[in-house]
Amino acid sequence: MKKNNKSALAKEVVIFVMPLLILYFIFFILPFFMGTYYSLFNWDGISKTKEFVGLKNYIELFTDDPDYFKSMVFTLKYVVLNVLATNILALLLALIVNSKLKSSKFLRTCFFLPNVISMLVVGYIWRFVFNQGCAAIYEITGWDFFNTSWLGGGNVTVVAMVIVATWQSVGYIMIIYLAGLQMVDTTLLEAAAIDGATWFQKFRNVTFPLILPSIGVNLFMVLSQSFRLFDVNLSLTGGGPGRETMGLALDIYTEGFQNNRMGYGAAKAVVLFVIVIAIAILQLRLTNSKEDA
Amino acid sequence: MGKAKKIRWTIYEIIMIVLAVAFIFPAWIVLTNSFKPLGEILSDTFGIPKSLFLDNFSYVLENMNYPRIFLNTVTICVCAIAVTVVLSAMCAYRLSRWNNKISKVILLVLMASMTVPFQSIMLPLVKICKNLNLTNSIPGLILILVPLYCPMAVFIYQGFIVSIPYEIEEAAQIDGCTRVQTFFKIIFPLLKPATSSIVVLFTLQMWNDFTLPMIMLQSAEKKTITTTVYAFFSSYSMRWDYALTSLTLSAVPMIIFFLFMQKYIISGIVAGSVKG
Repeated sequence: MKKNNKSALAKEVVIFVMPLLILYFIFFILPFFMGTYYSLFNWDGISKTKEFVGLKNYIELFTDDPDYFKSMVFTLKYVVLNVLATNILALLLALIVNSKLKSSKFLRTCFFLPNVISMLVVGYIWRFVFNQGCAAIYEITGWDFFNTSWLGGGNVTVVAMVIVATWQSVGYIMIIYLAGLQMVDTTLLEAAAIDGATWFQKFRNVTFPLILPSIGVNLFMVLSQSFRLFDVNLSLTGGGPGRETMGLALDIYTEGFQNNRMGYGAAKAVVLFVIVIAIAILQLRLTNSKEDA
Repeated sequence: MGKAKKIRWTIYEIIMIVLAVAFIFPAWIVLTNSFKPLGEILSDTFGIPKSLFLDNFSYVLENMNYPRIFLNTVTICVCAIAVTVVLSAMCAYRLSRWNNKISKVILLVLMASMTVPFQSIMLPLVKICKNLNLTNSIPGLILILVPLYCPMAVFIYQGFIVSIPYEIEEAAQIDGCTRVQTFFKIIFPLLKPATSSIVVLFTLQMWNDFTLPMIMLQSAEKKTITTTVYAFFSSYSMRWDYALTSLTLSAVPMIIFFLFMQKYIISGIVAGSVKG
């Protein structure tokens, strides 16, 4: 009887769990380990022979590749700015939508709308805005601000990319803040109002501490998403001019598929993975320690 | 006091509406400029089209092979989402009912993989697919999409299944249902709220996905909308009239979808964010 039960259970697991896990193993786990393995070779990805070089790819990455260093600096600048811009704006928009306005549904729809457009298309839309749109505004107003060459490289282009990415993703983050704000007990806010608290005091002393968990979730979500910057990078600047705005993720693509350095590209992929996982572990640590306290 | 406050709120409200409209202005000018000839785009970028000019659309619809790529995108989304939803629900159900060390480890690995950037597995994935003859094939792409999207689906389902009482299953089994029947007749219908959140969320994500279809599908007649826009934009970078029309054609379907499904999209985002 017991044996029968056991084989029935095994059969069930096979029917329910295995189909997904097999696909998951072939198309997720396997490529992950293969990538780590490839990163130890000097290989173009096509030829049958690959030369084992150990950690040489990694050593080259960190000591002998000014282009990669540039990509890293560009990505870090972008990440810091994007995390701040997206979160601050999303929280502001959530506060606006959450205030008792007649039009709050309309406002929410507007702020969320860009999020349903593909990142790639959003990059192209803004390419038009930065080129033709800004030129047209400059003609009307004559303000030098609009005559900036937004996509011409340098820090201005980092800012341009942050504007575009924020425009697209702020609605999503706003929704999560909104869910947090709606959990705030309104009687607390009413009590504070009776005590004569101003809007800002209410926000700082009542709302803010209560939405700290949402802030944590969103900071990390935008952080790990920012390191994956790819579509906008490709459509807005294509990494150019030169390689000036080549983010880490786009760099992996270029290395693997255009320069045909599979081994070297795989090493870059491993580095990106380590960065993102380190952030995830940090987040886990922080949320756990808060729960313990 | 009451009146002054009311006026202040009205002003505040008007400012916010103006801000919101300004926020979507970039999308608006792309839409309106699709209805202008190139000369008018350059001379009068912000104006409303002087006449209803449709030449851009007829040119782009034909040259992008729009009906074909639209159908490709729909096929990919529908099939991949259907398979992901069914397999993930089955897996989440069995794992959360099992509730032992093995199931916990599997769940943990699935959850952890949500943080892995796609670009980290992209290069070897293409290699594997070439060896299995899955590149440049729509069914092949669907097969790869399922494991990429399943961790999120399993995560949302698993949180939901915990709230379904055991007694329902036991009753069904006493009535003579097998496990598989119990799942499809009793459990899966009960998961409907989670399923609808997953379906709308994944529709948006898969429709707008670019990297995976770009590296997997090469022939023009198999491409999706986003990858065709990419190819189209590169060859028409000097022709804003055609380029902008291709952007409009790619964005409009999801904007319409969003306007009708807003409620589900928002509940889906909230359901997917409560992790950790």
